[in-house]
Amino acid sequence: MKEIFIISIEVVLISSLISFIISFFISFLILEKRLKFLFVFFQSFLFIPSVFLGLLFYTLFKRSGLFGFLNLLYTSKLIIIGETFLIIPLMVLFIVNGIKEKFYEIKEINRVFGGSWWENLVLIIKECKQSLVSSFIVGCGRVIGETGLAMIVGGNIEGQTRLFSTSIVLFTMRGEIEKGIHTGIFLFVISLILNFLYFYFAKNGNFFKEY
Amino acid sequence: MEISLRNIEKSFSGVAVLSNLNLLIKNGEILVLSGENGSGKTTLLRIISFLTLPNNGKIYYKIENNVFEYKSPYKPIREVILKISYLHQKNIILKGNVEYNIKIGKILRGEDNFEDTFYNLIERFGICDILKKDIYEISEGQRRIVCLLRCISVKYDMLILDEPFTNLDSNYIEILKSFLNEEKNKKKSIIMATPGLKILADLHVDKILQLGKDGKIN
Repeated sequence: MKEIFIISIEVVLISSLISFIISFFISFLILEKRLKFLFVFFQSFLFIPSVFLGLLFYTLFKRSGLFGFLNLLYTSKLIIIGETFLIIPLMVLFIVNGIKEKFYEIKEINRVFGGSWWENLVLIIKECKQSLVSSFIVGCGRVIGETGLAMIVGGNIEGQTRLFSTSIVLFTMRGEIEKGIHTGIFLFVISLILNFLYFYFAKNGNFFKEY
Repeated sequence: MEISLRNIEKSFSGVAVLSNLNLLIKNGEILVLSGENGSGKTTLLRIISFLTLPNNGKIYYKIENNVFEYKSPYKPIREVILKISYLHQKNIILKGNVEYNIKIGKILRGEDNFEDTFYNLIERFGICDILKKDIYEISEGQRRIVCLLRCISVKYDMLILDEPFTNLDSNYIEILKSFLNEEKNKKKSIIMATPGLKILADLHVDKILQLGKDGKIN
């Protein structure tokens, strides 16, 4: 269980962090250049099943695949890469919708007073902190609960690529229902903590307006 | 600072808001733009401040002996931006206290010296007691004062104010008008938009421009 916990946390944090950084700059680009098409494009990716993405990565990274020489198939590294790609559209959607209103206001203030591009970026991060943290937590939640992609590209290898979600699949197939339920409850507790964190940050951002 | 607008045109979705507009704003002048809602007052102010792109036309900015030409493809001129201060029609506030919201203008301008004149201005508008308050805890009228102070506390040659009197009580309106008269005497140019003209009593206005719905000056 300890190994599963460590690998799962590693996968969740690293993939969410990389995805967050990429998504932030994509969102910045979409809002700055008003690329509505790109936003719709990313939104459409939300409908793609994770197993399909897993299959795609499997094809690319299998021994005879385009990136087969990297020997990444059935490693936690490939799960991280796959999950990163999986949650980028989700994060872009949340970041764009979370910051768009403040984005243009800050841009105007910055333009009026002659601030630099860097000052604009810092102000946006500072002003939209809650929305950005919320987007990160949503991404983490998506990765924790994801099974299809992790099974296909990870192979559910004990001590190497076995995560909470994939271990539940294995316990169920073995008929060890009790173990599966315990793992599921543990997973639920983690997502409960994440959601409380989400709520806490959202609340600080005037979640409930006072009148 | 002098500004000369030549044949400025602007339309939104094919509807002309400003058409062939020519205008000269001289040093130390107070120019008031008046007109109904949707007559293009804000659009004109935003074009002068580089916040909205015109479809056509040129603007000449004369700062001391230098003349800057703003023409297609309309790239904002930094030297001019630093000489103009603009007050938005809508109150734009940032998270934090009142003091931070006022200071952010000077911080972005790179004017880090918060000398006596800065605090005198705050004292003049009588908001010393709310300086440390969170911006979300004050009224809309007080937020207007905060945005106004952010705008007038920076160094400028031209002040562009979009409906500055909105949400202000009579006391603040009088303070603002006397401040603007003093700025005029210091040879600062002021352009402001206001829907009504009654409020302008006691303000030393040089020109009033009535914008029509057809995008032309009446």
